[in-house]
Amino acid sequence: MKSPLFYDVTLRDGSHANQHGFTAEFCSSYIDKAYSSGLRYIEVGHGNGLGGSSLHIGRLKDPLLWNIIAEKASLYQDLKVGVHVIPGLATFEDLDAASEAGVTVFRIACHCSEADTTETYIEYVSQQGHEIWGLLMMAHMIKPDQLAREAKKMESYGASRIVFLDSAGALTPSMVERITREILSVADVPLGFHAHNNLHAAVANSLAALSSGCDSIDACARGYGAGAGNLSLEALVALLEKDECSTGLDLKQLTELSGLIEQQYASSLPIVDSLSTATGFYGVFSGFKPKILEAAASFDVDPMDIIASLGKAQVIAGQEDQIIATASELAKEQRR
Amino acid sequence: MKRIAILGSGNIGCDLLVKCQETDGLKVVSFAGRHANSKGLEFALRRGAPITDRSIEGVLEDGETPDILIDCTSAAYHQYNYDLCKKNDIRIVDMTPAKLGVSCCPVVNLDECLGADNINMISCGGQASMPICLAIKQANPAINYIEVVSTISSASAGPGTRKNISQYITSTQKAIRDMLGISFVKVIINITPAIPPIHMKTSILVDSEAVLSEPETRSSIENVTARVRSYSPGYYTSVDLRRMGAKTICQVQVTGSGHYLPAYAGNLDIINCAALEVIKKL
Repeated sequence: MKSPLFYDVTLRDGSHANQHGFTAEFCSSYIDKAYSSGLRYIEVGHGNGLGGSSLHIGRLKDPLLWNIIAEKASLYQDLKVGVHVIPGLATFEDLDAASEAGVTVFRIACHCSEADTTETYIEYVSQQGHEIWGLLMMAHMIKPDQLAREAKKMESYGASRIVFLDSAGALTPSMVERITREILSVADVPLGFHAHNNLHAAVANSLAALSSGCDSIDACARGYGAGAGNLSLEALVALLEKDECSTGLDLKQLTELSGLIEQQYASSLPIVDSLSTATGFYGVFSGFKPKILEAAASFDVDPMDIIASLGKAQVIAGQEDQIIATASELAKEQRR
Repeated sequence: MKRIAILGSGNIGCDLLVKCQETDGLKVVSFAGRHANSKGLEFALRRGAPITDRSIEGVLEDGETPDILIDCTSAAYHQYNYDLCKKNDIRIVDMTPAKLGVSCCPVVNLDECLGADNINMISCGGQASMPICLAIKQANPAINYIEVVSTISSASAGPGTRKNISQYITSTQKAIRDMLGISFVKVIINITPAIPPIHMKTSILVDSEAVLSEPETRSSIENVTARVRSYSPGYYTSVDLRRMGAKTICQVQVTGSGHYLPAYAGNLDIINCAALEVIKKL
């Protein structure tokens, strides 16, 4: 197997785990280590990407992150710093600011069925000449052929790569394979996959993605990401190396990178617990976990009931307020 | 009898047609589109409205000259339409985000807008959130940060909405900031494909430390939402003001009147209800 492109989302998806609390200082040492491990694509920012810092989702604690991007982008000429962009949170002004700071990869993301919301954002970034990827989030929520149509739209707007995201960790390996084959049967651009570990399937799903035709993988050191976490970067690299796929990455340094996370964020390391099984099963966005717990405590309702209701109502990423509304409804029902 | 012309035969135009026809004192003298066989023109014809497929030229050259023109086209065409209306002494109510005229949310500044020749209806999220922002501002005059999160159904988000998300955010932020004097405003919009389609929901969030008194803020919200219901009957709080740690949240749900558009399209209904309220008072 040819080695995939590794896209490190630790400093963005991991933001969900520490409530958007990465410090500029930590990011600086992380990027140095990641670069020397051989990683060349590193994403930085708020868990929900540009414009995500808010009361609604959580405020970014250290606004100095931007200075770090500028510093590292000029220090490491072949390093590509990426950002996550959701139209509806981010504005064109946010795209300008990221571009000025030295960001060169813009991953324009939307809920999997709403690709047309990315059109004007992709066009806007195209004018700046940056690398543009199109991301379909919560990919478990629509059928593979529909996903393929949405992917094709993003390609027609100008995305040079498509990534489908299992944002709720709700896919199985066979589903990932079907989606990969379906998208590749219509797309003329390469395809990547982004896993979450709610049902312990991040590694299995990523391997299924690679064996069926994806050639880029999103991963986090120590799997440090939203909810039950993402794909563990070092675990996948170890598995691929054992299978005689040369990744070009330094596994020893990657384990040290993982160690950096373990030391600094010991209290927020993702685990697969009963709650993540429920979110994976019901297909509820991984990043909701802390807010589900907060709302359950505030309204004195069972978090499992909140998860089941959110799944039934097909609530999507970005609707954090609906967690509170759901808990409030459940509390009213309990009193009746 | 006020003579009304509706320019633009999409969802907004068709729904306003029904609303105007069902309002005493208003007479629709022209319903204009660009394509002879469009769904909107056929609908207007069935409703007995005089129609034209020659846009504003048709409005000005055929039949009765209107007193008020409602521009339901898009921001790009608004300047052209406004110029022609000015020449012909026709007042314009602007449903596009062009913002050439005075921005209006009925519960905030209706009376101040009535003298203007061009009244802009801001945006659907602006009409849904501005009343709550006003209520919070009235109970907490020193408030300097407010956040608005609207979620609309995919089925109610047309191509115009989808192509103008960044502009929608910046213009709604600016309208709330300028009209209510709140220094920092953050607007977020979600589009969800959930089936059945959800009714528009808008959450307003502020820093808990900025809320002087929860009971007073709550009663201010009750008072303002009741006033909004006088023109947009489906406007209710779905989550009462609630402190959640550092943030305090309140959510309203807007159910549409079900005139031309389905009840879930509360986002399109509230901006039309607000426009109708303006037109009645002009």
